[in-house]
Amino acid sequence: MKRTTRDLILAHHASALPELDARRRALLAPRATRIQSVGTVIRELYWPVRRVWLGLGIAWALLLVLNFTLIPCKPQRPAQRETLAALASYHANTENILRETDAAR
Amino acid sequence: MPLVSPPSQLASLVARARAQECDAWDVLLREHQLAVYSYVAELVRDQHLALDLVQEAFVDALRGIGTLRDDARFTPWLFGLAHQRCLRHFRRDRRTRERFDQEADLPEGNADESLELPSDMMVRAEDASAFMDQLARLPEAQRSALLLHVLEDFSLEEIAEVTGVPVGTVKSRLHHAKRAMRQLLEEQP
Repeated sequence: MKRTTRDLILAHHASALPELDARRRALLAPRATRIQSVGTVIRELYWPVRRVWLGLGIAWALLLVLNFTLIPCKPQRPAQRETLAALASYHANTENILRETDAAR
Repeated sequence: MPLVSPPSQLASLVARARAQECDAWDVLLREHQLAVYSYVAELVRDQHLALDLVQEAFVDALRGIGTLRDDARFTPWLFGLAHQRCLRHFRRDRRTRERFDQEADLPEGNADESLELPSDMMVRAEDASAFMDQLARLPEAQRSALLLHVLEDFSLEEIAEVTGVPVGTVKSRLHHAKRAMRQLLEEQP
């Protein structure tokens, strides 16, 4: 009986196949479990109560819309002119008080 | 034993593997595992070490699939990863490394002369043991080139890509390896 050189070499090492299979499965198992676990979470947690999740989602969306609608676009700040006028008034008052104090002496 | 999936199917499997589909990875690694293991085991001559190196090469493949430029060249790429793992092992052993490096300096001789030893060349069952013994006696670099040629029918360019040496060196190594193996097969009654 004759065999090709390739078959001969592969047959010579075929006894390692069970160990190679075991190692390959061990290598791929964590990945499969990870992908499966995402699917399981969606299937077991979300799907049975999907209407409740949907209702909650809509409620949150409405709250967000309301929140953004009620908040003014820009925070209100006193105008620069008003601030300067207030400072000038404060300065004038301080000078008056000092003048009156000097006059009293 | 059948070769791996045809190129179109292989490319489709690799595309799915890129998307981290476990089924695709399982098929790809299962189809390549024995050939890659045979290559590594024949190079390092240690079954347990070969199993570890193949596993490390598969981990490299899973992590580095993004670096593969052409899906159709998955097989040489995977063998290249396994070869790199073997080299890393050889580098730890100074004697093996020196032997491996010196073989690159072999004279090319009549490297153009056609010496056929294709993957489908027939060997009698009673010569099988002598064939494997002779293969083991070949220097590592020649054995590497011959195994890649016989196991996957890689071209000179593909062997050069896997081993990271110039095509001329591959040609020389393959020529010497084929001559040694052919001598053995012709000597058998």
